[in-house]
Amino acid sequence: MKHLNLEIASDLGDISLMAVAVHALSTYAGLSPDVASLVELSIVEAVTNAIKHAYRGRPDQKLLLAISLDEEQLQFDLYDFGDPMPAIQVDRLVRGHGIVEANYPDHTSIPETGRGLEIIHRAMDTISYVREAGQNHLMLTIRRGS
Amino acid sequence: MQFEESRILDVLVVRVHESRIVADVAAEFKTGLTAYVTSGKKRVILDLSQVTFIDSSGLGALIGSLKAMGAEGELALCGAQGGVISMLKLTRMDKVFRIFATPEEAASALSLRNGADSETSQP
Repeated sequence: MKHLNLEIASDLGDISLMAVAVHALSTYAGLSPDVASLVELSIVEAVTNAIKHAYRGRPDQKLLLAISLDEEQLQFDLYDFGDPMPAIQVDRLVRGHGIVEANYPDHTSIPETGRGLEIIHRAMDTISYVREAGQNHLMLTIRRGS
Repeated sequence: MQFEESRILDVLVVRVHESRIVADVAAEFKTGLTAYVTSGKKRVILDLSQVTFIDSSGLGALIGSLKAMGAEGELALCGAQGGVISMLKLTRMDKVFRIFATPEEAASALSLRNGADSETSQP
């Protein structure tokens, strides 16, 4: 198994640094261009969520992303040290609770926010979230054949 | 953030000169788009050919602009690349936005369906 560790400050402007590295590694691992884009999108959503909510927008905190690559899958372990994710959001992210196939009668009923967790839930193969010892640990995996 | 305006078949085309529309620029993106809508443009084509990545914040700005168009207006997308298309499909927004390959195709469709705008003022 191969490992790569990335660290950025909790600044929204720094997320792209991590994102482009994730996309490049996903392509290197043989993921299709579309799937590599969705993996990148998932990481961006996860990191953005941590900055906005766990760190409440503070730009001077730390985010760690450990990437593991074996013959079967890519695994992303994201760590932050901010506030825990509310249980209802964990349910939405991990189990897809509250995610429905929306059928909007008109444009005015389409929500503008709240899609980040849904994106991660739809895009990644496995998802887990654990709060322990003052840190939040989000683990995402995607099969290399995707 | 830079927007480049042009007109095809008298329909306004706005090309976005930004490669990544993400959380730190989404508010600026929405402000720029909304300026076209609030200036009275009823049909706008957004050319995303230079955009390689949009996250949920950027998508929210797109949806906000679509809603600001109201029932009478239309906001069509064109030139979207692979990663942007994948995001739109994953979020089912490909069923909400009218998406075309080129600005010419989009302008033809909007002109045929609605008749072109007559206004010439810029936002």
